[in-house]
Amino acid sequence: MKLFCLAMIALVLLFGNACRSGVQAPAPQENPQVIRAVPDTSSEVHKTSEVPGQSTKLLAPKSPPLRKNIPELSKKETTILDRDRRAERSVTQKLLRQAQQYMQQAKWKQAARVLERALRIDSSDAQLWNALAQIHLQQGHYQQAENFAKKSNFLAGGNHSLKEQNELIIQNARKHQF
Amino acid sequence: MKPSEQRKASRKVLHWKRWLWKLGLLGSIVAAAFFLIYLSELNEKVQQQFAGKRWALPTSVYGRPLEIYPGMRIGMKDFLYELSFMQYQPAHRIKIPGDYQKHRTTIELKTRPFSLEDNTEPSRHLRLRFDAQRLISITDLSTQKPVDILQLNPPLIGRFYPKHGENRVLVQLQDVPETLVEMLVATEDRKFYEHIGIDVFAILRATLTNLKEMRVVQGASTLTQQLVKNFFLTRAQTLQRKIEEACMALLLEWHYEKEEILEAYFNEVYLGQDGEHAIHGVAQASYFYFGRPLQELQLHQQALLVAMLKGPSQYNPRRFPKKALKRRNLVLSMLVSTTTIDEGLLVHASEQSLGIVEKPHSSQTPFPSFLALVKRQLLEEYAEADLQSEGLQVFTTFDPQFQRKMERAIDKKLKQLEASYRIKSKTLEVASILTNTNNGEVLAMVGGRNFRFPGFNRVLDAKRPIGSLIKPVVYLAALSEAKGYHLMSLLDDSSLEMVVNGKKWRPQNYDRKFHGNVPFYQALAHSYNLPSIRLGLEVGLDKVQQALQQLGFQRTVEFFPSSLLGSVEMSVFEVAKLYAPLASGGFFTPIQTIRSVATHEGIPLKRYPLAIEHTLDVVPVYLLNVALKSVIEEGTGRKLKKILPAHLDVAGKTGTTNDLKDSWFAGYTGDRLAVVWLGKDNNQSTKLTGSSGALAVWGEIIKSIPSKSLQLHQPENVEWLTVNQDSGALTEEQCPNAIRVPFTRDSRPTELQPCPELVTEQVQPIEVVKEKPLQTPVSKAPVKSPSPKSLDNEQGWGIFQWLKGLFE
Repeated sequence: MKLFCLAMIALVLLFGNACRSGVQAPAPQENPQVIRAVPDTSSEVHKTSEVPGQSTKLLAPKSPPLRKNIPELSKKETTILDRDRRAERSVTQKLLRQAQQYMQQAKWKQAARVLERALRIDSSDAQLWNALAQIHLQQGHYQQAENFAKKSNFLAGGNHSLKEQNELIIQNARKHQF
Repeated sequence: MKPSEQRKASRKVLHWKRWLWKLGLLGSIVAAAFFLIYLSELNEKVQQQFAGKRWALPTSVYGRPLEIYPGMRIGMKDFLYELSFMQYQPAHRIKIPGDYQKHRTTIELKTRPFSLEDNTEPSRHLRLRFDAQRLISITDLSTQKPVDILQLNPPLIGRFYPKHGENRVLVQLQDVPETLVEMLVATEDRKFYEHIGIDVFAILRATLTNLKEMRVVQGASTLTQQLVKNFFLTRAQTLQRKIEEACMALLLEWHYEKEEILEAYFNEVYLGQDGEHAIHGVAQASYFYFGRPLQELQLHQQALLVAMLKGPSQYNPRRFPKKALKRRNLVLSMLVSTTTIDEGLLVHASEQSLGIVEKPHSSQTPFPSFLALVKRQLLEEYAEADLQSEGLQVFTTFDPQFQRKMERAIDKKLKQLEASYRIKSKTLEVASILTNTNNGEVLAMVGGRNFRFPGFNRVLDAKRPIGSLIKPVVYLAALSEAKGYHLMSLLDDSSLEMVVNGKKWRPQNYDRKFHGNVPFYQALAHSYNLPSIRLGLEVGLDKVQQALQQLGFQRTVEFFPSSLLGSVEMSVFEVAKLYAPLASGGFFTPIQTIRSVATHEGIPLKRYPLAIEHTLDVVPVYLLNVALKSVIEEGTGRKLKKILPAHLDVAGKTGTTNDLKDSWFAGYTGDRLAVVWLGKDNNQSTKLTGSSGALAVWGEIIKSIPSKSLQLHQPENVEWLTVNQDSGALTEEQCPNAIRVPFTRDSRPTELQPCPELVTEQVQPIEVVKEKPLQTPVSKAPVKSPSPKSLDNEQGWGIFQWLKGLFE
């Protein structure tokens, strides 16, 4: 990141305006006319009430550059988010292990409850959803098992072994449903 | 008189006497029979009422238990709020559960034990360490070991009371402190364990004294009689009632053990008034006066309860503290000789202050709108009478932390809006709901401007036209169609006139302009009306209606072309349900307020587990979500960018109705969904659009709560391509009007449109980049030096390529 910043500064000095728009991308360009041109265009069905100051200018396709979607975070923000993620991950992993212990003892309800607690803390963890799918499969809730496995798949990203597991659950659940 | 006459007369008398005697006997028999009938009636009454369900108990509703773990984002202030909400009390020394002590960066506390479902949490003595933003560590002080995760007891947020307004918490005798039992017996009825329900000697003694004084100065009621009086009879002071009372006391003792009678006494006894609700039982009184469960009371507090028995209003410690204190100390001094309680303890107790909390937890719930929703969901499974009498314990999803933040945000923004738009103060009404997108749990809810007012609940009952909030449904229907709509499909935004029900209809855009051919996603982002109507009609009203149902809208509504612009009326709650499947990426989880229900003894009755009812096709949902993100990136929701922190990506939609009567915003982050409606009860104009009103409130709410950035999970057969932003044809990244847009494999554009300036340049192959932000706009930097903006600044690759390009 430091290298990037240094490179940026150097380039600003070198190229001046040519690169400035690139460096400062995160700030949306404030063109009042354009902003007024995009009020909420809701169901003005029968008549349109005139809004004071309403601009007639359209949002032209070549409007000012759009803001980048993933903006650069300040160092402070990054640390805060990192710490959130680490804390959440650590606690959900512990709960997952606890749930797995319950699962080994066939205590499905307890296991499900622990997983639900974990999901309230971090619902983007595909493993948690997978474990929930397994529990429902074991309990004979095949439709639920399939839905949870799908959800896990949806979040699994590049975790292929998890995806395979989910596929197995889905196949298994379908076998019982039809 | 002749002897014969005398004999005759005496025989007559004898005859009469005999008759009288017979009559008397008969009379006695009849009287005895009546008395027996009367007794058996009383007996039946005693047995029936006492053996059956003794009291109508209110249903108690609890919020979610706060889950704490090291690293959790909760400030010390927020944690202290939670503690005060749960009626933890500051103490100099941590002695009993519910005590806490605040230091500069730490809080020491003893948690309250509780059981939830089949999980039991013991009381623990903990030290929590905080920094500016979060809880850093939790230490169990009895073992000196760190704690990984812990639930605190769920906070009580409200009750559903029996019709006659009794407020009661039941207690079992084993949970009543022994000293309290001893004090009660010593003060009220020393021979309780010996007598048979009435104390004959005491009655005689009292009668004599009263006769001597010619007025009632002494009573001789045993605890059993007092219980009978409160439990079965009226308060009338008649002889008949006295007799009835004595008989019933005897019967009660005949049928039941002393312990049962004592337990009933502790639960029945009247101890004051909380507004319209009578305080019955020592357990309820303990909460009402001391803000603690009975088990936590100290000796002087127990003595105060006993002292108040003589006259709960006369010795009300809040109204007459001096009188109450005097009476309490009198009780304590009497106990010295009559109980086994250590004299030193009694003396120490009499030196204490009253130990009451200034303000009791109000019996009126501070969260009436959420409670109304809970009740509605409970009534689907329980009879109203049961809710008022069975003493159910309902554990809900309600989060007091979120609720507080939401209320503050709404209050602040509404005041600002009223000031800046010259709206009459306090006339702008609001309804809002906040849910967890992944499990459908309702976290917080505001049903009107006055948060505490239990009246009309606008979240549930105000059905308003939803305006453009309907549009995502139309666009979802189109994307789900096999006709091959994609985000760059060009939609016609030109003048439109049609005949609906014999009337000419000429819908307009909000800005009364026509924008020519607009890309699909932009038509949604800018909420253009005309392309939306055309799209809806082309897809078919039935298909749009079908999509509405798939998203979970259950009522059947007639659909007209004007419905495509949101003439459909919905409540805030219904809108939240509609957007919930979008927020979760296409997984339909019912909106839930209740996690579990238990009996008043804590036996689990029902659990409402996390469920995914059905799944939508994730691809159209993904594409729609990309478009809904662009609402905030470049469309009618742009203002949010100024309100929210830069790292927080959200998606959502504004809605406004005719004459600015309703201002809507529905949107979601990675884990929270919120819907906000602003309007006026008299249906006048608010002077606000969705963007200037509801959106501002929404932004303020989301800004004030911890929330995760919305991450869209790219389905497998979706790819991001670089296309010309006007035509949608494939183009190169370096082109000035190139943007990146996701397509399904079936709908990807095939036409290639190289940018004119680049024709002579070496054309780079079009990259297919996964997980890229929705569109990477391209800068207007000179073409020959590709701008950094066209590159993915997240990846080293991008910088490298760019640097390479620069030095080529």
